[in-house]
Amino acid sequence: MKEFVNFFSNPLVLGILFLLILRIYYAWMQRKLAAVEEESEQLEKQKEIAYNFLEKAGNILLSGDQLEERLEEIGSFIAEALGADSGAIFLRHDENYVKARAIFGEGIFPPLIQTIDKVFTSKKFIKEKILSDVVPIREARLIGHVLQTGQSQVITDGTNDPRIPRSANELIEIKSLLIAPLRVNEKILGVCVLVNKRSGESFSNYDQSLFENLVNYAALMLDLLYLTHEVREKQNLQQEIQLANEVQQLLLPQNLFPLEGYDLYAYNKPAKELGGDYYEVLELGNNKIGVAIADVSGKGVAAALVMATLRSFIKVEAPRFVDKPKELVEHLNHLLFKDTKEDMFITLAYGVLDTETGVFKFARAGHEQISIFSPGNSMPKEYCPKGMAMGIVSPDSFHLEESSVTLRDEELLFLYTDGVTEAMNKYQDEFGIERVRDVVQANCQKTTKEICGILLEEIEAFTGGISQYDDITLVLIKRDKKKYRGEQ
Amino acid sequence: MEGFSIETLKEESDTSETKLLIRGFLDAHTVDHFERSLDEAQEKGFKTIILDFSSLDYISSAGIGSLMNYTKIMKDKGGELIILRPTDKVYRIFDLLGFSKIFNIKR
Repeated sequence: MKEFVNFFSNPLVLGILFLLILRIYYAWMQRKLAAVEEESEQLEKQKEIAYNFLEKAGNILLSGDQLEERLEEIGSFIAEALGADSGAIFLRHDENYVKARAIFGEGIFPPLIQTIDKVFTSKKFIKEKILSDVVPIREARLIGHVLQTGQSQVITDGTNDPRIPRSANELIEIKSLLIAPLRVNEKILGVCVLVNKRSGESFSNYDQSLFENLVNYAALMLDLLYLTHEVREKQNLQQEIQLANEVQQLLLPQNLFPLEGYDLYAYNKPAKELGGDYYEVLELGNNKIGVAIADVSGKGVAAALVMATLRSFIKVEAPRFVDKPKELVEHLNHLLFKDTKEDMFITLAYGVLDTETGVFKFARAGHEQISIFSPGNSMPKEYCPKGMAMGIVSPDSFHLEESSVTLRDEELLFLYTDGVTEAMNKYQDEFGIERVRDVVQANCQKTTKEICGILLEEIEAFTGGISQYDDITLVLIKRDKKKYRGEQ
Repeated sequence: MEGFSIETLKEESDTSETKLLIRGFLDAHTVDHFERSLDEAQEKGFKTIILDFSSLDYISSAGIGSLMNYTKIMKDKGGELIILRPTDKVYRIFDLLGFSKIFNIKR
C-alpha cells in the first residue's frame, strides 16, 4: 500500500497520468464535436430537403392533375429524399375502409395487405392489384394499425416480422420499412409507407425523424388538395347553376313583339341565380293577347322547375281559353295542384287584352293587385278580384273572381311581383306600394321602357345597392294610339 | 336576419296547448329555426299550437309555405295550428294570397 502511494507521488508518474487524462478528454471532446457537427449537418440536410419539398409543394398544388398523380409526385419526393426503393400512400376510403392511392419508387412495392398466393413477376400487375383493392381498415394489418393508432413505426428486419405477410416477403425481401400517419388536426387521413433503402442498409433513427417531418408536410398538402378539390366542385356547381340561369332567361320572352297601338315593356331580375318569377305576353289571335305574371314561392332549382312547368302549361292551354281567363287559371291550378310540394305555391295574375277595344279581362290567383295609371289622375285604379294562390287547394274548392276593365288611350296597365314593393334598405324598410304608385304616376306619360328604368333607379337608390331578397318582375302595357298611326 | 326570436309564452298539458311568440322576420333565413320550434312542440305532444304573430314584422313566401305545411301536418294529426293577432301588414299578405280562409287566424 505504501509503495502504491509512493508510486503515485512520483512527479514523473503524475505527469504521465495527467497527460493521459488530457489525451482521453481531448479524444472524447473531438468525438463529441464530430457528433455535433454530424447532427448539424443532418439538420442542415433536413432543412434543405424540407425547403425543396415546400418549393415543390407549391407547383403540385397549382397543377391541375388528378389527386392520384399529385400524391405520386409527393410520394416520389419523399422516397427519393430517403433513398427508399419503393413506397405507397394509402388513404381512408371512408369510415371503415382504406385504399392505396399512389405507388412510387423504382422498386416493387410489396402487397402489405393483400395475400397473394402466386408469385407474380409483373410489377405492373401487382401495382394494379394493390391500387384497385378497397380493404376494411381492421383487416389492413400494419397499415390499419397505424391508421387507428396514429403511431409511426420503423421495422428493421421485415423478413421475420409478424406484422408483414409472408407472401410480401416472398415477392421481395423486406429488410426495412418506415410507416407514418398523414395527420391533420388530430384527423388521420391516411398513411405513407417506404420499403427498403436502395443502399441495402436499414432505415436509421435519423431517417425516421426526417420521414415523419416530410409526411407531416405531405399531410398538410393533402388537406389543401382536398380543400381545392371541394372548391373546384363548388365552382362546377356554380357553372351548372349559371347555365340553368341562362336557360331560364331563355324561357322568358326575349323581346316582346311590337303591337300596333300599344307600347309594351317587361323586366325580370332574379335575386339568386335561379328565380321563381315568370311573365309572358302571348299572341292569341283575333287581336287578343294573353298577359301573365307569376311568382313561385321559394327560389332555387325547385322553384325554377315549377316555373318552367307553369310556362309550358300556359303556352299550351292559353289558346284554348281565349275569352275565359278565369277558367284558364282554374285549369292551371288543376294541372299544378298535384305536382307542387306542400310548402310551395304559385301566385299568378292572368288576363286577356282585346287590343281593338282595350278591354282587359283578368283573374288573380293570390297575386299582387293589377293597376291602371292614367296621366290625368293622381292615383292609379287598383283591382284585386278574389282568388287564392295556386297549388294549395284541390280544384273543387278553388274558385276565382273575374274582373274586366277598359284601357283607354295613354293609360298604363301595370303588373308587378312582390320583389318590387318588398325591396328593402339596410334599415329593413320596404320600398312599398306607395312609392311604386308615386313614381309610376309621376312618370306615366313617358314610354313604358322609360317608366320601368326610372322605377328601377328609384328602387336602387332606396335599397342603396344591398342585395335583393326577392326577384323583381314588371310588365307594363300602355295604350298609345299614336303608335297606331305610325307616329312613334 | 336580425331580431328573429321565438319565445314560449305558455305550455298547458291539461289542454295540450302551447303558445309561441314569434318576433321579427320569418323568411328563408329564419324558417328552419321556426320549424324546429314547431317540431319540438309536436314532440312534446301538444295538439294545439298557438302562434302569437303580434310582433312578427314580415313573412316571406318561404314562411307562408312553412305555415301551410304545418297547418296540414297538425290537421292530419287531429291537432290545430292557430295564428293569433297578425299585424295588418302580415294579414294583408295572407288575404292577398287567399290564405286568410285556410289558416285558422284569430285577430
